[in-house]
Amino acid sequence: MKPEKNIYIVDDDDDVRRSLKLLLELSGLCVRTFERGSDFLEAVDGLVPGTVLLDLRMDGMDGMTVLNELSARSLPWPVIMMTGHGEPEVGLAAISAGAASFIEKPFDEAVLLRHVDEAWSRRGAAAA
Amino acid sequence: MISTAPLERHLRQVREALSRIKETVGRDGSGRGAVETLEDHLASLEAEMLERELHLQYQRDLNPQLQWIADPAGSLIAIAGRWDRLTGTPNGSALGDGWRDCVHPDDLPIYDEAAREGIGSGTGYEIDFRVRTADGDYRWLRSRALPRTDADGKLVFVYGYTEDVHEHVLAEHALRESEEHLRYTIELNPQLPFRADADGNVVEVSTKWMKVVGANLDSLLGLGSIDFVHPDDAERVGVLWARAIQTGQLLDSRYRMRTASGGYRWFRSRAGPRFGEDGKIIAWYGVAEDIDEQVRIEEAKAEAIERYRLAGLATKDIIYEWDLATGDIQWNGAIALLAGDDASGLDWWRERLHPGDRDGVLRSLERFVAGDDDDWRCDYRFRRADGSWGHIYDRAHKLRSAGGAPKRVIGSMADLTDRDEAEKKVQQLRAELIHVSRLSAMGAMAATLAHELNQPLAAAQNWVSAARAMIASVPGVPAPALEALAEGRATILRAGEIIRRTRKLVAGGAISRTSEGLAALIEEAFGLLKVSEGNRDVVFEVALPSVRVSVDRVQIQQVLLNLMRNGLEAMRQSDERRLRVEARSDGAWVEVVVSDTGSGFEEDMEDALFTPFRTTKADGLGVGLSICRTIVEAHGGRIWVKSVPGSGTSIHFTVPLADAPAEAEDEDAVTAAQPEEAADEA
Repeated sequence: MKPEKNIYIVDDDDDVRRSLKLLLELSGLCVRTFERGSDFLEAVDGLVPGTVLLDLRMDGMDGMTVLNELSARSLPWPVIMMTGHGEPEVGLAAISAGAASFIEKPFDEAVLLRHVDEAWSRRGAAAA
Repeated sequence: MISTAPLERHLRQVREALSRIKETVGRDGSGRGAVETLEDHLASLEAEMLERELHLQYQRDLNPQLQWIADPAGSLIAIAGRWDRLTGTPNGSALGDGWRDCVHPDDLPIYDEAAREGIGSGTGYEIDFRVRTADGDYRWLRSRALPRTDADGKLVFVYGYTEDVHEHVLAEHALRESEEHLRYTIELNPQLPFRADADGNVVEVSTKWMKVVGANLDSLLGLGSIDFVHPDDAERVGVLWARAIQTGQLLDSRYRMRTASGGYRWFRSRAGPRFGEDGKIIAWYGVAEDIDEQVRIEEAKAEAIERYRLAGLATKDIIYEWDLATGDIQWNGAIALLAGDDASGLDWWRERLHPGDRDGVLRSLERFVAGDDDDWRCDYRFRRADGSWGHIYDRAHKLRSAGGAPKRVIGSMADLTDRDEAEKKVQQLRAELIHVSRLSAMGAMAATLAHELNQPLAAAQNWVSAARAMIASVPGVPAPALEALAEGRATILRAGEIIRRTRKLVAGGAISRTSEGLAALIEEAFGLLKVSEGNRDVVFEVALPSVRVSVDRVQIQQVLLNLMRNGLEAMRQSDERRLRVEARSDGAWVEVVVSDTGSGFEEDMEDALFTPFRTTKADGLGVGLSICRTIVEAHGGRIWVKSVPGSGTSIHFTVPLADAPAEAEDEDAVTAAQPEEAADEA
């Protein structure tokens, strides 16, 4: 399974999680969802590489905390932050914390897929 | 006093013998002539004796003294003198022990004792004693007695004489009494007397000086006392003394003198000259007085007056004193600042009252002066030096004399005009702040709404896209169905755009971040809350490092006010009401904690707290905390809650530290971008 075909969704909103999972699976991606950031962090060591779709604003552990933790663990997978704010500072903050990019809700699945592709190609380029 | 009876007897016998001789001798002859001569001499002798007797009697009558002879046992043998006139008892009644009946019973034992001793020792005695007079009073007599012994040394007689010393004794007593009196008076009198000669040399000082200066009295004589005077005062004192001696003018000088304890105390010396018969000064009599306490009190009073005057200047309050008896009114210097240099009295003050206030003020003042109240308060408009009307707050207090009649009024006039203006400004700023806060709150609310709406919109978007994707692969689906779904997707996207645009519009562009002192922000928030009635008994605590944070001032204050108000709300029913704000730096962030001592809440409520429209409050929409979250997260920070049921709640949030200018520049660049976008969309 190519890593860019593997998606992990971390979002506390039921609706978003389920709808997004359906949408992405229809696009041929393999999707696994997590309701809580803490659940994902617990599981991550046992997961195969993939793209992390991380919601910024979650009750309990929020997106930035998860992102920082992933950076601390030097996880090489791209993390795309989903924001509802749309304020550039927040996005920039996410990127400076290690996110590959950020995307505002609601978004087109095509936009999302482009982010995913670019994220992996950027990573590949960086590695190279 | 000795009886003449024996002498008379002898003379009689001589006369009788001569008679017999004459009979014997016959009628003629020289023998008879001799006898007749003897008879003549005898007659002269008897006449002489009689004459002498008369002399003695007269002398005795004039002589107030009593002469007496007593036997060795003290029993009177004979007494000459007017015992009867003195005691009212017959002369004879004094004989034997009869005299004892007239002696004062208290004095008898004393008399006997003295007599026993004096006679026994052979030296005699002298004793004062009282005797009862004809009037029934007692008079003082003095007896002097001498024993007479015979050739063998045996006591045979006691000779004595007694005189009336009553006035004398009383005078002595009076003198002694007055001496005692004087002594006590001098002892009690704190003054220290001294006497000097005409040249100013001290010749006598009261022994009291010794106790005061703790030195030998000799050291004070002559001009020695100057050694005890404080070096700074010595010269002046010397000059004054010399001048007094020279001119004969009264001396009155103050100086410090070294006392027995080693310290210096203030004394005052006054002295005046005593003139001799020739009009020249023969001595100086003076007293020195310890006035140290007086001086200290005077100094303290002067200091207090000075402090009072300075305090008056410092407060710029005008302080006045109005003598009700004379009508004279005095203001301190501060009056010039208010109303110019020509403050001249009550009329001047009256004239400067605003015409609209004058009648009321004067009537109120009149009532105060005449009435029972001791305090008066009045607000009025007063014409200031520059012609403008000042708002004066006048407070006065009535001072009464010992009898209770009003004597003086002291008061202060405070110019509140500036304060009024400042208050007006504060109100204005408050209104502005509220207005801006509302706008800012609206912006925050819009952001919250935006986010909340975005979730379901995003999901809807996904569902629609998924549906479209599923349908697209099914053959025979009518084109309108696909179109409808496509429209649906576009609509949702448009909805999202609308929300975004609206938010940006209301927010008025970017959050403007500035470097703010954290402590100042928190103090301002406290300030707004402290004045509220319900918060009077709340303890407000801070524990803050002095850091600066990069925040949107108004928005972060919104957060602070919101959190604090929630805290105060939570503590409303609590016994202990303490609102505490602390902060600590953590890398590039500052973690701020707002905690209360309210009832706290259960763990499962924590997550729900930030969900909008979820509230336990009867009033309020419950958007407060979610707005806070929006703002905090917009700053890149986090916000979370910790609570212990029954103990209190603390809300933590992080904000960025204001640091290197480089970062600020980036933010400017970022914030600059948005207005452009807003312009585009507008």
